[in-house]
Amino acid sequence: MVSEIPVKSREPDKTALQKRQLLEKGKSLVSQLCATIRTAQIYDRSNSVYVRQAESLLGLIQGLLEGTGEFLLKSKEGYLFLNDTRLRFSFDGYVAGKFIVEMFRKLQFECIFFSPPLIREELDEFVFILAHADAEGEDPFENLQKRVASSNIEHLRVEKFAPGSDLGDESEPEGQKKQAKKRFFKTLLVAQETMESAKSKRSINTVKSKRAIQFLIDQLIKDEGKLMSLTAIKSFDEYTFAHSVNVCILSVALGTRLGLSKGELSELGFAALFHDVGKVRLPIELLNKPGELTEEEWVEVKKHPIFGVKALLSRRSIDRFCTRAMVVSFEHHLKLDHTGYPETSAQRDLDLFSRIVTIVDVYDSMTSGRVYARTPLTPDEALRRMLQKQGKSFDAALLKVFINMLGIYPVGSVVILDTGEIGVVMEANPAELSCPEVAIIADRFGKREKVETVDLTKLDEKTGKHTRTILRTIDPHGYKLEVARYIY
Amino acid sequence: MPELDFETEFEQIDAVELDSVKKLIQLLSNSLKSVLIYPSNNPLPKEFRTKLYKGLSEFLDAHDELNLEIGPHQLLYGGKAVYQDGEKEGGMAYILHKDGVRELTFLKGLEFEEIEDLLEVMHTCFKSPDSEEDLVTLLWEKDLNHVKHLVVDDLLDVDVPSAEDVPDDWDFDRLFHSEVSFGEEGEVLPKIDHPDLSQKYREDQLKQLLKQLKEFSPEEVGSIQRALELNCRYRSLDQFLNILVEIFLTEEDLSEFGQMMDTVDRVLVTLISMADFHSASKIVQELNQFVKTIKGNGGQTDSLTNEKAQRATGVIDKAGDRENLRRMSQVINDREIMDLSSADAYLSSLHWNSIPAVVSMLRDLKTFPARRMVCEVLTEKAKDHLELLGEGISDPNWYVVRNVAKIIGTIGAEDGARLLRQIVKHRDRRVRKEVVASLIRIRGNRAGNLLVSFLDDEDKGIRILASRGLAQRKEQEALPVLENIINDDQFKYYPPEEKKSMLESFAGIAGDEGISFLVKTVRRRSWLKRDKHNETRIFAIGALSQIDSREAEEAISQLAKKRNKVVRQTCQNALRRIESRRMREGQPAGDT
Ligand SMILES: [Fe+2]
Ligand SMILES: [Fe+2]
Repeated sequence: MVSEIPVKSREPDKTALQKRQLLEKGKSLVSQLCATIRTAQIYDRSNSVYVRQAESLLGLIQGLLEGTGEFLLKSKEGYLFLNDTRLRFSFDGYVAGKFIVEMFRKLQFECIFFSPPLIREELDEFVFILAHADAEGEDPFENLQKRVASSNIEHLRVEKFAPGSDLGDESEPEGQKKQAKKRFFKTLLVAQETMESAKSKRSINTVKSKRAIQFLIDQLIKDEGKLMSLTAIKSFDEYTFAHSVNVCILSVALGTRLGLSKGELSELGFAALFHDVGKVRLPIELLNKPGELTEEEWVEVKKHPIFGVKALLSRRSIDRFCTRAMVVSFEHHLKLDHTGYPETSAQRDLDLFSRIVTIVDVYDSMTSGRVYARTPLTPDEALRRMLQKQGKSFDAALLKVFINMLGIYPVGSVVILDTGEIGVVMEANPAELSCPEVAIIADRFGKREKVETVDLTKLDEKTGKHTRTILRTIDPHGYKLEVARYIY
Repeated sequence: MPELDFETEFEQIDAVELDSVKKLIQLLSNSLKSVLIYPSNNPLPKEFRTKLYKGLSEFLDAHDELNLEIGPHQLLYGGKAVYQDGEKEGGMAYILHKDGVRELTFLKGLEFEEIEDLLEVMHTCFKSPDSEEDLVTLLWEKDLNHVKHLVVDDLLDVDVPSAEDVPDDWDFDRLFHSEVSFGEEGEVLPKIDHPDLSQKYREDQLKQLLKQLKEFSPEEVGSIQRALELNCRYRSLDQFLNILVEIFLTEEDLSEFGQMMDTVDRVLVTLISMADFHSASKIVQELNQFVKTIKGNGGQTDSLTNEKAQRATGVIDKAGDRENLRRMSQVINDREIMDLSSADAYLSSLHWNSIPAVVSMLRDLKTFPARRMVCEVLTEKAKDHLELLGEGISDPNWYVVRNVAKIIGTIGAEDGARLLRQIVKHRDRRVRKEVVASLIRIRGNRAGNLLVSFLDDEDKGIRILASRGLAQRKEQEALPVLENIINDDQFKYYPPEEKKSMLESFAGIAGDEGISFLVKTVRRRSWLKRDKHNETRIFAIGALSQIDSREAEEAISQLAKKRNKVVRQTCQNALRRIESRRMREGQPAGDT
């Protein structure tokens, strides 16, 4: 199938320029396709907003068909490919990319084939079928196939997952969840082991950590939601380690949005995982102290960024992972407005990785409430407070990307819906920040027999309005409610 | 790992297929070796790679994939060995197996860049098999679409807590009544009050917030793009060093400080062994800066500061000691290609007391470009510490001595002559020649006198060079010596080029003062070997014509009246030359 496509060049000297142009076109295709489908969810075929959007998409596809003949858009292991060329997204195209990957995943197909001569009518029919496809029915793909077959579409077709692709067990939501959990705990163990060795001033073995982080990154690329939801569980015994893993996951997720390469992501993950490694040198009583810290205790706590550098320094050799981690350890409590600690002789331009880790670190600390005896904030409240400090403490643009990633009701938020139901946010929806996936834990009569996950982006067929919207969040801590139970 | 018997399972692989895989793996191995052996500008590695790529692509077109199993010392295809590591440790299979790779699969659609990436990764691990570079990490980072690898993973089985482990004793009723039903149905329970938290977004607020979050202003897009661009050029090592200095400055615990210095020391040694001279030089530069900063702090130095400065200085000194620099020479010798500018930067960052150790590198380094680099460094470094070059002057290897002589000449300081004096009689003419060249460039009487002494060197070339140098310097001390040489009966038997050089040098130094001596030389009679003597006369007239003054011209005109035909003609030619020279220079012809 794939081999029939004549675009692929075998020449070693295939010009980089051609490749780049193809990449750019591929990215536009994805963002136009996303925009068109989303417009089709809201407007009908005669609406001028839709018509304009569809025209533009058609133009783009026809351009590609002229240049390359038949081509395909494929999703594999969480990546999108135009024929054999992987499309890489930066923060601006990320949401569209994610949207398309999610659509492929939910409707259970692997690729769309485009062949000439494609006309508007076909494209419209196809887009509307996709826009209103039912992802929750028995066999979403079967359904989709039927609808395409019964229409007049000739030059577009979808194909199911090819045999041997990466799904298998993990295609089941439960299998994926289990996989995500395993990876989360594996990293937790490695982090613990590594930091314990830093504590006893032994040399740190980094290979294990690097490999664990690779697993996390692969998981994040495949299915970001499952892994990110685990960061909302704040009830682990060893706070510092869980915090480290959370910061690692959320930092890498943010880095993915910025379009960082795998190499950069693993450096970022490593630096994030060990941003607080200096804390192992602080007395445990100080870290777990209930109540406010005294001034002297604060002086001690403020040493941990430098302790971190020293701990990483004790390694036999120093590679790029370690140098970057030392920079981040040193800088992660320095603020954009040059306040914070430790003191420096000159103002520093903070590293991008430090800026990322600072945002994630503050978010996780605020919502965990274990650090220095603060009361935990609800996730949405933490974001709200951070927004107030943007530009002073945090890089404003990065913070925005971060909130776009988490949604305004991040994973772990307990929400009251306009239906009177109580829910726990499970996964953000990149396209609609206020409409996450929610596990309904009680109905409007207070009954809680079975937990059901619903997607708040869903519209009521009759009214065209959201079936459920979030009224407000509540603070679960007062009721001893552990969101972990639902996230698991 | 237990040896598995694959024979039965994979019987369908025919001999032709197996043979072609063997050939491909051989190509892979050759490509890898060629990168290790040949310098980067050699076309051979690329040829191998292209061949490998073509071969693999053809194979994959026919078979869709090529799956290799990795044993501890061999590669298997369909259960049959297609490659075996050589005797020495560190073969292709070993490198892959050691880091946990158990399968390597090439897929149809393979791109040339992917081959290059794969080779680069393997090359990195080959180069330094003991380093902590993790092949799996490098391979994973390359993110190749058509080269897949399978890794053993002993850690994946971890106990995952289950949802049932989470306690389920929360106050559901109270939550429900205080947050949802507000006690309309059933019992009224006290509501928990969180004034600041749990706010509801008003609809208009929410809309505004969403709009604000979704849309990125051009400034925001710009700021992220700038950050990403900076990130591409980010050198974490530089930043890390910067931070180290920050920590050095504030460190108050001397033993902690000492430990850090030990680490820096260790890191330096590692960097040198890895040929990362750039980073090493950065470290030494930062240390220098640090010492300067703490010493400069208001002039007041307490004992802690002193101690810290001393420790840091110790590390810098050690960075330039003989052991370290010998290591450095070795690393440079071991490498075919080498960015010598980073080595230059490292040596330049060292203190002047490392000069003798740097000089000894001239002995250890094998290639000319490397020694030239060291010479350049020493020229700069030894400017104010000439005496430290002394060791090189007495070195048993002639090339070391010559290089040091050259350095002294390039520096050009008067004191250099004192050092060069020790080697004016060096047994190797190449050294003496360099000494002459250097003396010419050194100011002062001492150098001039030494240069004069080379006029009777045993080597003709050196004598000529010395005479020309003396003329260039207008060295008056040379005149009596030159007169003696020219007056000597044997002078006419000297080789012509030497005669010419001596006479011209004499004229060059003496100017008008030398006219009468040269005229006398022309007029002198000789009964034996007249042709040899005529040769001397011709050169003497030539020397006269070079003085370029009315007096010299007049003297030649007088000589042109001589009966001797050779003398007459030479003089006439010389006069014509002078005339046309004058014309060219726009001066009127002489009265006479
Ligand atoms: Fe911290
Ligand atoms: Fe932290």
